[in-house]
Amino acid sequence: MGKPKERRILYENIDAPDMHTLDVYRRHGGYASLEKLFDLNAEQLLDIVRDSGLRGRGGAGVSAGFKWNLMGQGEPKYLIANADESEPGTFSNRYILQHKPHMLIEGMIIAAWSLGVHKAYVYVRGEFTLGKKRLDAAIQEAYEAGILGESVAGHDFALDIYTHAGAGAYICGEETGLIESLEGKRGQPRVKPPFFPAAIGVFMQPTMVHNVETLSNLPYIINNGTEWYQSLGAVYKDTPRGVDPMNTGTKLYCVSGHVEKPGVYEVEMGLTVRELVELAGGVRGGNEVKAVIPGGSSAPVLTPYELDVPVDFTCLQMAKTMLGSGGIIVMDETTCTVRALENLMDFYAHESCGQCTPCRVGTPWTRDIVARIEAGKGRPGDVDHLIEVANNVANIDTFTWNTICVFGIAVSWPAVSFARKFRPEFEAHIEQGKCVTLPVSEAVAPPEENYAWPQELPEVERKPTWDY
Amino acid sequence: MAKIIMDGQEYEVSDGISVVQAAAEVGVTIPHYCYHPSLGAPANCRMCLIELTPPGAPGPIRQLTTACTTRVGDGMEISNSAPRVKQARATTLQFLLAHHPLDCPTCDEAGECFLQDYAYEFGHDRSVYQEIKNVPPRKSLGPTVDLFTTRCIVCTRCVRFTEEISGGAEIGLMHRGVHDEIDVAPDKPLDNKLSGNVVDICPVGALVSKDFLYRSRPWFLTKKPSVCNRCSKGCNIHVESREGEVARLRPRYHADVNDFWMCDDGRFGYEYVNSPDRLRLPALRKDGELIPAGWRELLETAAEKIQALGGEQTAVITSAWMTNEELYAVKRLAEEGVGTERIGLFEGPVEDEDEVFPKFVIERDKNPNRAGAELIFGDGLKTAAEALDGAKAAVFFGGIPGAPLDDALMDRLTALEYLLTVDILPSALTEAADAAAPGTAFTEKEGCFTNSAKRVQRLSKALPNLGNALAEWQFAAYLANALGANIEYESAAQITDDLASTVAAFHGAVDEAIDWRGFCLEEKTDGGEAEETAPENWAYASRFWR
Amino acid sequence: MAFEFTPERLAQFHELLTHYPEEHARAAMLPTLHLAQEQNGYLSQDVQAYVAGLLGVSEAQVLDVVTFYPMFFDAPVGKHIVRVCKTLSCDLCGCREIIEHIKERLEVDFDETTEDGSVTLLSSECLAACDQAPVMMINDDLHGRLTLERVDELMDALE
Repeated sequence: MGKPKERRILYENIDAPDMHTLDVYRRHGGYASLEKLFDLNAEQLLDIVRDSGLRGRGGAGVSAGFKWNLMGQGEPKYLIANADESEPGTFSNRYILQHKPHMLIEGMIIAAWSLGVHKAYVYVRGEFTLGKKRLDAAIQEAYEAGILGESVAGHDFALDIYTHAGAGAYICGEETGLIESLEGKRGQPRVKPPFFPAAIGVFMQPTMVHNVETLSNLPYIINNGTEWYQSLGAVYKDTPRGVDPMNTGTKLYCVSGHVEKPGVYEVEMGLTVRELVELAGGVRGGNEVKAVIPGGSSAPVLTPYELDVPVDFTCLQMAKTMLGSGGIIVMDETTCTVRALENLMDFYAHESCGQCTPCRVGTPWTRDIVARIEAGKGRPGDVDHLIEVANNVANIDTFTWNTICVFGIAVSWPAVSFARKFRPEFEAHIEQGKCVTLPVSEAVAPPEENYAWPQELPEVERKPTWDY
Repeated sequence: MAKIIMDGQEYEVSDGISVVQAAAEVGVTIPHYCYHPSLGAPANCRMCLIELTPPGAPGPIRQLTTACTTRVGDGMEISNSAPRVKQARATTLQFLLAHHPLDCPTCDEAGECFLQDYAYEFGHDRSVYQEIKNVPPRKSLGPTVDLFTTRCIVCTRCVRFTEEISGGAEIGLMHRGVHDEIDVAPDKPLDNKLSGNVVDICPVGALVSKDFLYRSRPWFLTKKPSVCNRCSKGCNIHVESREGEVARLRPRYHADVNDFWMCDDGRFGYEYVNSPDRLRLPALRKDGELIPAGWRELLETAAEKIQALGGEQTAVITSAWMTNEELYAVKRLAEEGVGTERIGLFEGPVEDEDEVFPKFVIERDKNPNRAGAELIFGDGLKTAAEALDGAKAAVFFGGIPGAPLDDALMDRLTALEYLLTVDILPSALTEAADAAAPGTAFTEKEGCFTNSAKRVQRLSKALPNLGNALAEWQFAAYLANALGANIEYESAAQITDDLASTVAAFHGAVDEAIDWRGFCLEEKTDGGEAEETAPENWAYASRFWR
Repeated sequence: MAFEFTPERLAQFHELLTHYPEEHARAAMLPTLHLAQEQNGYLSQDVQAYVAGLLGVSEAQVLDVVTFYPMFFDAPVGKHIVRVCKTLSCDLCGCREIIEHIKERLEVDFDETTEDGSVTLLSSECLAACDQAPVMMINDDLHGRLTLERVDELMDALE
């Protein structure tokens, strides 16, 4: 059994010169899936996607097949590619748009054909100027080559794809916020129920929203088959109710922060946090790890005690955090965790859409408390106060939120996990009335006081061997 | 009907309504701010969270659910009092009050504020918020409405009202997050005829009526149900008065008439009632001047004059602003007292078209009771000019403030040998009359209007008569009796019953049968196809509409 | 002079409308505002009124959107827009020093424009390029692995 190593599928040849052009993409096998696609009907495709075990890469990790199964019957139906990549620490979609936009188009054609969609949108983050330019050009090329339009690749199937640029709102990455934004309104998420997009989505029609990475998996699943896809990644057994054991395929891990070689690492799921950090060159300067955020800034932080948890959907969920968008932020011994949390809370306070009460008020309130502690103006009891306010927005222990969307839990997850797991460092700020960075051994709450400890990980059914 | 279980108790409620409405139907309050049954439900305030067990489910779902967006279903179980429900509401209030200025002592809404009520019932007893509060400035949204921005809880009811009901979408939610603010675009104020409604739907003291601001604490107001007199629609209203003056008019819910709304013409059109110039004493012309006189003298001289000039030469001009009861008394005055067929109708303006909003119509006919007059007098009703043509005397019932009396009519009236006016405000006409009797404004009347849809709706006497003024029905009866008739009415209700038994169109509309929802003279005609009607909100309104 | 799209942009606008169902012209709001901002530099009251007219919505509904999205400007901005990322990965990699340096050099704070009207400095939430942290955007271009020297080079090129 080898050491975990990269296995590039989505990112294969992503560095090839002019990979963003149709010619080069085709030369590297692009659009091959369209040869098979139109011989398959919707039912067969639903089976393929469901059996592949593909899970949504945007954050929630919902099985794509499960989602497709919920698609409503009304006409017209819409498909939206969510390219509003804004979760701090996540940057894999950016490079797909910039370097392999045709892969996304190919994936969208597959989803559209499977779901009976003739109009699809790509909601591109406003700041992704180069990505949007490349994607627009790729769509143009695809139209000219007959891959999009009245008759997709010569088949009796019409598909139009349009890009739609956002304008700097994180909340538009939430699928119903995105839909509202696409409809020309402020990006305030809708109440679910009744607005599950698959039933009532954009323009009140059935809508499938998928992350760019999820859609980009589809061409490879069609090309290589379900069995091949199932053979990648990790599968667990006897998971508790509500925990999906499937982690098939590769994941685009975005590693940033205090590592030697930050970047996107495409690896079969199943490696541990520690292994992933090593893959990214290890902690900078050989420093000690202090904290790792495993799935974008919303995911509860991990302490050095928790680094042997596999970075996949199942295990991170069982370790009371999440894989989320796959953004791994590594913090070394020089990091002040209070300052790190203040930074994140600042982000959330700025990005709360303000629609519902707990989030609108609770998010900046949480930020203000952390900022006070960091500024040396904390008062005794502030850590509990912080935890209480954040838990009132969304309770991380019961996994319930009083907000309209999951932004609420995305706020209280980091807030409560930082405050609990690095409580000594928070208390030191309050006691000493200033910012103090404690050594790792002192900053972290003892594992037995960690609410997520001991880690109960599921039994492995199958794991990658890395023998390549 | 659907069977639901709420807090262990089984209830039968209407199908397809929200859990908030269903709870109201059975007398239970589920607190809420953003939800309003006539507007879309954004579920943003998070106050109405309940614990829900869907029909057939083994237990409650993990997340609390908003009662406003949940439709009742047979077998559904609801907890409105589980500890986590109470806790969620208390924390929601904590969040709502974090930036709130707590300026109840100077706030117009105090006393009828849902923030106060729910904080008392569901909230914590102290604030734990120690950070800096947002203090956005107060601003004017338009000619009728101000926004105390600090008090706003961003429920967006007003935004939705201007989008869905009035349609101009003048109000928007600006900025983001904790900086969210209700506002209008620059140079695009909230200036439409439904603007006042946003004050009513504001659940807190953020939107205030410039007209009512600082006028009275609501608990000093006496509130009487009534009907608006500004057009033939007949919006149901409450007249709220203090110390003999109207303080404000507010819409009263009616499913088939005005929903929860009324227009600004009606809402702010009451000033004349409070006018210091109102006529208070009967007056007779003596030596060229109108001198206050007693009723007996006025009635006797009037009877003498009319008899001298001849009843058939006397016109009786009635008004489309009088109640059914007054109209019927005037009818009897004309027929049994004066003995004339010269019965004319004086009326307020009629516009060319209705003013149509997406979900509200202001009717073009600015007379509240034309339908009543037409039904009561039937074919015998002439225009005022026709009735006056060749007449020597007239008894003129006015009561329409600011109604234009065209020159021809004015000339004809002042040229009469004898003119008796019954009116509420002095005018060129009352100044020219031989006798001027003070009448009552709609807030002082008892009786009913019949709206354009032939619904008989009741007014209540919210204010006492001014000075020595007599109700018009009483005056008509007295004058008729002075002319030899024998009309004995002790109350408007007697006339209502009399009218119901003598005028076919009003058959069945006896006093007892007319409740605060009115009495339909004509059954609603179905267009054949069953129209989809919105669920009615009577229970909701009685619980949550102030 | 009231704002109007140039003929080319008006044509672009009409093409944009075809992307959305006819009865949902409002959906073209964000792209239309981007287009208008491209032409006018910022979304003045005039521009907003024009866009409201084009899309058949109220001016409040336009202002509502303009104030929600930080990439739309409702007041004049400099010739160049500099957005410096300040979120966690960049913070871990030293963006505060970079930000201080830029502020000192330009003599402005965030959300301010240099006196000569050349640069508006904005802070940005995570720009999704954390592997290159610290990063900033100058107009449409992303610049990563910033050092003080690199920032100076980039700033020099602006003037």
